[in-house]
Amino acid sequence: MNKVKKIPKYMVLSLFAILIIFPIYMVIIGSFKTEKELYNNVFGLPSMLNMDNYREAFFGGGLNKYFVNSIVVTGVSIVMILLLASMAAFALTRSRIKGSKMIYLLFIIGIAIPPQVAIIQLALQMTNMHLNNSLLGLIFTYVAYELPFSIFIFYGFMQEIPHEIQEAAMIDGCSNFQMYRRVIMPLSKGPVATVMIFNLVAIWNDMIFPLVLISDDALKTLPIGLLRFKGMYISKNTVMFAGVIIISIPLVVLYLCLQKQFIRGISQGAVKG
Amino acid sequence: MEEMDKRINKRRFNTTYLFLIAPLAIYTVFFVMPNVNSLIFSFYKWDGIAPAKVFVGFDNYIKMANDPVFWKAILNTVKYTVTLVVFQTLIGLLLAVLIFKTSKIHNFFRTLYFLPSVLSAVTVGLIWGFIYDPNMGALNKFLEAIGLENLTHSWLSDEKIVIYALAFVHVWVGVGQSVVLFVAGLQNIPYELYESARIDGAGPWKQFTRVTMPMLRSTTLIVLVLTTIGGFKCFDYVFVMTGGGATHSSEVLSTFLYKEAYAYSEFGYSAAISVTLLIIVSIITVVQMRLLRKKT
Repeated sequence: MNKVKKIPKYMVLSLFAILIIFPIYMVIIGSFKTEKELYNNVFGLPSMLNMDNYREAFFGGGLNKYFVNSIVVTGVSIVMILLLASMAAFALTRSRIKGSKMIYLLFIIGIAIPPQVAIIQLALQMTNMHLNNSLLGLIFTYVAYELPFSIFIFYGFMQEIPHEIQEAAMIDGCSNFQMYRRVIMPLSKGPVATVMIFNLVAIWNDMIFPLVLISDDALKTLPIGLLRFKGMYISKNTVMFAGVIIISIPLVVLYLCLQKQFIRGISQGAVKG
Repeated sequence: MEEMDKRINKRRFNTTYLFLIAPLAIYTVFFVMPNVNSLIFSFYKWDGIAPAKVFVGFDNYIKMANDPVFWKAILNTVKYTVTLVVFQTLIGLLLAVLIFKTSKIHNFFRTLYFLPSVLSAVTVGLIWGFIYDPNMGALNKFLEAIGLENLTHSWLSDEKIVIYALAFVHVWVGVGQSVVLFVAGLQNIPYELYESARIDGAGPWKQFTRVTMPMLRSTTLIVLVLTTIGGFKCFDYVFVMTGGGATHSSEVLSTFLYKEAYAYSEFGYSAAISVTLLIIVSIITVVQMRLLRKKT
């Protein structure tokens, strides 16, 4: 009886599972097909596993360059965000400085403001500062835009650390910097993981900032590099599919290994504006 | 002891500011300044070339109110948002109710539904752009294969359906996030409530409407607000798949402001549209905070 009752439930679950899987399946098998094969048979398996599309996407399409840029930008941005956001949250929660409430408010207002509001002005300003077409300019942008949410996460956590810990360390002659490094940060592994994963997904996948800040082909990151495929390989969907796989694989693999942390990081970040 | 406190405070005072210098400097220069400039620019006219911008007061806003393309973009944004909100909330709730109890198979489905959230909007846009392709695309081929030829469309060039086709892609990505939020909400409902409802003779549907829904109020509100804001902000999928369309058939606020700056060099006008977008999103955010506070 119970098993029969569950059939409709699993039918619904499977239907939506197929809706999610099918496009992904189509891209994976398509990336091994020739263009003609794809046209004649979208749904079937490829006749053989040919890697030509991957070779073409990676070397011909320039994804090898974009890959390096993406790693540099994402990596450096995340390190800077972790450092600066935790330092700011430390200063704002662990000592009673004047105006700390105001400064915190100034930071978290940024959570609600969508990037589109200022992208044009940002691009103009970057040109004036000679930071357009530069990975450094892109990194500063990510740091500035991701600080609000990251500070919010660190702030919430650090606020809960009991003051007694700090006072004991103070009396032992611990300086502010030592307090941050030796006492507070070792306790903050949870928020570090959340901030890291959220920003990894956000920055690796971001399209909007490089779109307005980077025009030099050699400096493009993966998402806008891939966008170029749309025009360049107008009738070469299979190469585009290979590109889609190349850019997605790192995060999908990490996601499957660290599901819980990813789901926590991303859904907390969804609250972000 | 008071002496000690004062000494500690003084020392803390001196070095704490050092911790704030770098974050505040970067945030101010690369976030606050462009946003403030956007607000200021909305009162100016500038073509991107002329040496000086000209103050025009509220002209850009007046132009906006009289611009049919602006209203088209608003209407499209609203259609997109309503589609997104309705489907992402309902499907998310349905799936969450089915899988909220922890088990291996449920976790498998949850992991799968959430998967699109780690994909880049560009890849999602390219994949769905192909699926929607009228000649090669999988959707039309699928419809032909199951004998529904008359349902085939040029999904992204048919003016009447393009905006819904785009919103559906957003639903495809976002549904997993609603599932996760609803699952968390459902897991917080005490089991005893269901038990006493059952004792009172409530069937599954009654239990759902009398216990589950009221207890999920704040979760539902959060999902509604997040999807509403997500809808009004939409840019990526529209930009990748249609760019707003040749005749503005899928123009939304964000693609419109992007075009006004980069295609038509109307920087002041573009800024006015940005400010309007910001005002809309801010209103939704404030309403959300009010509603949530009332709840607790």
